Amino acid sequence: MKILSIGNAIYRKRFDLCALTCAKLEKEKTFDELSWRIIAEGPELEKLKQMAPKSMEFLRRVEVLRDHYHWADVFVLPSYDEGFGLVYIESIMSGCPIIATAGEGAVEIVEQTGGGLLVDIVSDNALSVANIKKAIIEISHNYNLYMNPEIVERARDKMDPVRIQGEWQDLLDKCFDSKNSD
Amino acid sequence: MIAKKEVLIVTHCYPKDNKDSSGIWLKRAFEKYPVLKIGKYDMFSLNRLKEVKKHNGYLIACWVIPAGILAYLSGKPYIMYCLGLDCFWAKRHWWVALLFRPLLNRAKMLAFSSRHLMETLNAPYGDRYRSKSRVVHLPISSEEFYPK
Repeated sequence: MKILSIGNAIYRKRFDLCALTCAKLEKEKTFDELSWRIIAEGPELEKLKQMAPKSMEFLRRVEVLRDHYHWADVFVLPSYDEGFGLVYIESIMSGCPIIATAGEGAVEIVEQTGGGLLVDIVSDNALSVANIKKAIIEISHNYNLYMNPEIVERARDKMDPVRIQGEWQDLLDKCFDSKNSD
Repeated sequence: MIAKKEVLIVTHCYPKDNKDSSGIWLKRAFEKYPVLKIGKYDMFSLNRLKEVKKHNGYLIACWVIPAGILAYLSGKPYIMYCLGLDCFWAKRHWWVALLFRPLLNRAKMLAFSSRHLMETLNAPYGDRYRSKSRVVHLPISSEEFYPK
């Protein structure tokens, strides 16, 4: 199982939960092979490295993320205060299903594309880790349910640059037409 | 139709050059529009305010702080594009919500990069800004991200 996480190494990204989940999967030998790659930079990085189990590797920010999404079987980021989370949708567009926090910005991504699962992240770390682990196992068992060409297409359509430029143009026309404008 | 040259994007987060990736997603969204990059603490900079006032057209202020404050002070018509943490501050702290209120009042429209951000910023104000709130996502190119 190849797992990927990307983000700034700050507390609200909850990479600590990734490290704890990785340690649990490793200890329980849930998968024959396990590799968890974290691409991050920031103040929490050294602390994370200290708590990381041996299946976890760290990379500094890279220019081309696509290759890493291609490498991974699942993308995990249990962060909070996440307005949207572009990395989630980039992951789905690259064919990699996601695991994200319920009640955060990624809700609309998962609801509208179907490309992953939302997990409850609570104050009890053990419970949060159990939820993440359960979601990873669910996706590994039913991969085609969470990643297929229709899901990728829905994600592409949602973020389509041409359509979004059109939305901006409509918005500008609506706001600043001659009758409306200051 | 509003011409692109009539719109100025005001933001503190925008790539300096091709090697800089900070705010690259904002560049993707607005690469055809003129952009005024300001500093993080330029909300009360008179020089910046003069630059904004010089623009003869409309503004899209990306983030309430600092760009939204400059847009408000400039007196120009603007759309507030809400992208991040400032939405959470307004929900958590009543005094931030109070400070944002005149900025949101004067905005022609509030655009949000996700539904979650729209709900978060609107939470302290009830239905006051619902009718002028819209979700406009940041674009991602399928030429850059595609399945293997």
